[in-house]
Amino acid sequence: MTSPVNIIAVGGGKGGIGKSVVCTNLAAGMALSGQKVILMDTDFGASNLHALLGIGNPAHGFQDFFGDKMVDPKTLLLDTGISNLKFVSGAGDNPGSANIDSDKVGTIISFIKNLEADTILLDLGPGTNYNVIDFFNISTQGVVLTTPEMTSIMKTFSFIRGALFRKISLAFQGHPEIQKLVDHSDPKNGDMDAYTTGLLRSKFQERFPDHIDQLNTLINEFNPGLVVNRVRNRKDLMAGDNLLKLVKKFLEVDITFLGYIIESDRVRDSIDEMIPFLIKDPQSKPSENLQQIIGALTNTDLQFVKRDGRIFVSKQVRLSSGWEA
Amino acid sequence: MIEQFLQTALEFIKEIWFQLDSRFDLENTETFKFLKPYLIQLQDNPVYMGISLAALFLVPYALIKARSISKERERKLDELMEEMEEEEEYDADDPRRLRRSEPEDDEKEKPLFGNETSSPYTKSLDDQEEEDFEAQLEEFELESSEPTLDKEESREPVSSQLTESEFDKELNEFMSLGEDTEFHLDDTAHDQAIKELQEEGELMELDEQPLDPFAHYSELDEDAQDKAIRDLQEEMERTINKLTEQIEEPNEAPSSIKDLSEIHIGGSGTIDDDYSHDEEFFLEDLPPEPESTDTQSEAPEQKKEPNISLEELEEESAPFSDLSDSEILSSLESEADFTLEEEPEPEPETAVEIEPAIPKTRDYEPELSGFTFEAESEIPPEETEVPSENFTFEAEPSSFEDIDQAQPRSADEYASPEKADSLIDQLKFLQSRFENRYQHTEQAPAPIEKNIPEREFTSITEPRRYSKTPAGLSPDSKKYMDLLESFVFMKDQKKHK
Repeated sequence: MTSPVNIIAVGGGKGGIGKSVVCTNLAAGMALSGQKVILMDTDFGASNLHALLGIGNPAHGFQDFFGDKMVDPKTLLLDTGISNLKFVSGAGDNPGSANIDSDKVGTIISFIKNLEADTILLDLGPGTNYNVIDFFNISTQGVVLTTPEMTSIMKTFSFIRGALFRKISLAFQGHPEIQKLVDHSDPKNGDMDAYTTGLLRSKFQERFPDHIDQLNTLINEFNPGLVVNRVRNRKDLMAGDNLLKLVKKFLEVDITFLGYIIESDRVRDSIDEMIPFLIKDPQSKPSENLQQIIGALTNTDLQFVKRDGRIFVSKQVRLSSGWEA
Repeated sequence: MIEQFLQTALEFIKEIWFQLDSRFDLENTETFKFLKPYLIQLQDNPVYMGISLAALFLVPYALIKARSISKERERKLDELMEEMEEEEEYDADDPRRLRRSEPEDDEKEKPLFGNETSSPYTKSLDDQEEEDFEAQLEEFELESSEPTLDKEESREPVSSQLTESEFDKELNEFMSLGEDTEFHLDDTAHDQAIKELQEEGELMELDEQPLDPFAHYSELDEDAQDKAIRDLQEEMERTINKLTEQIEEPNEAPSSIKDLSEIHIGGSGTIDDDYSHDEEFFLEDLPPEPESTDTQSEAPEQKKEPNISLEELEEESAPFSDLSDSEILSSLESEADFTLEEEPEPEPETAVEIEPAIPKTRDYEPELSGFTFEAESEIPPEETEVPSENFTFEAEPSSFEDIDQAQPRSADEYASPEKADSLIDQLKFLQSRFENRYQHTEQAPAPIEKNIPEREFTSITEPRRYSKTPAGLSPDSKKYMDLLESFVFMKDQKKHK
């Protein structure tokens, strides 16, 4: 599932952990660093990115896909006031609008993949619904977000496991027996014993030895990044480390730790002011944390400086990373 | 921990700042713009932040602490000043002052209702015993020469002790000042204690004797008690005066003894005369009437007086510890009654009557004529418990020597300090009872105060059970991981381990 566009999906199992805020600031930072970025609000039914960007009454959004009218994809891209940054709103969420079928999801995914941009950032909704996970799995770089609370750690683990198993399930769509192993959406037909990659491997080893290599490849390619949000101290960072250990232990997945964002009221103030905190105060601690995350995602070293109301960006590309800037 | 504290403090400060900013728009002020770079630097540097927070909290705390210390010191100083003032007022107004026989005793601090064995009064008595007896007699003589009764009361501890209403009045005045709770007495507790005493029968016996001036002891009859106490005082003073006079005239006592020794035992009139002589000497300060025939005519009228003296003598011979309250009080009553009759008698007469001049007794023949002792002389001397009407001495002599011993005994009772001591002992005993009673009232409210909160506590607070939740685990601990795994997987999903 490759795409010419770099798609970064920001998700997490638990709601309210700051996915939209982080995604908006990532998009703003990447756009300010010179990339053409499209920010998409795929939290259908609970969209709020347009509010974070200060865009009131967006003219178009993903809801246009759900109507009968044909939509020009270009009309969906809204200006944000930030150079290089476009925005696709998910506003207009009517009751029940979150319950989109797989066809509509496929349409949206197709739309996303055909966009011309350097980076597309997807702000996912909470939970482990397939509509959410499928958007996560189309990404070239998945970013899971968590907060130090144990509940958030738990849900993020579930999100990662759900995304991995959904990815395996989609990879073996033509094998119903394998689907039973990895698709637990139907407990009556599914094999609920394979709830870890170790158990899944053993099942594959017994029953589908021919697909074990493909399974291993899928697992190895699944390499989301982790961002710990609202960190207050080192102990909170240990919570993120525990998530990495948990994922490694039960899913045998290596998650890249992208960085953390310190707890700060500046972030909340930026939400109230509808300005990304990276733009509002690029030299603040949360902004510095975000710049490090962007650098980890783009293999660059970014530094934002704001003087006289103007933001200056210094960018250094890490040549040894192998990432083609 | 420190970081967490700082973070919490930061949240608190930020909340305050947010509220202030939203209300006063502080962020757009020039001052804030000037301070903003410093504040940002402050926030970014934990050291500066810690220092600023410490200064923010420690400086006001230090100011408040210093102020509280100074206030505490001022309060202590005020308390000390109040205590000093109370002590001054205590010296001036405390009813205990009236209980002290000597003015210098005012300087001694004594608990008002303490269970001390030696009250201020008894202490003064002990001191007096150590002094020269003659000097003491002179002192009493000087006191007796003072005509004012009020002054005598103020000096006599017994009056202030037994005048309960006066005592309470002054005590209430003292308590109404509301300055000291050490000697606090509750009126309800007081009444309750009196009721308890009545229920115990300690005072009920007194109620049965209507003539007893202490009959309404528990009812706080001021007049009766004052009167009784005055009578006691007068009795004491009079006795002491007699003792003083006898000491001044020591040669006359043997003469009286000599005269008495001439009386024959078993005679119809001699013993009676002897006794009546003795009794009159004691009770009425009158010389005895030797003629028994004259006294028989008014025997019914005079029977009462010897009865009283008999009881008194019997009780005086017995130890006070063996006496009941009623006995003591009845003896005091008899004395008091007798002295009441004596009050109009001029004191100069007593000085004259001490002399055993037989002719002078004729002036009192009608009073003594009622004595008939003929039948009573047959009563064996071993009988100690006889009706008072029988009128027999406990140690009624059967021989001259016994008479000789008995007669000086009654004379010694007035010629020696034993009589005064016995009276003093009685008063001491009453005083101790009086104090114990107040002590009882003082202790009475204590269990009430204890029980009420205890009952309320048990009724209000009931133990609630709660299941102890796991304590907050550090994320770097293994238990945290185990707990996390337990939250992720279900119970039947443990085989992955």
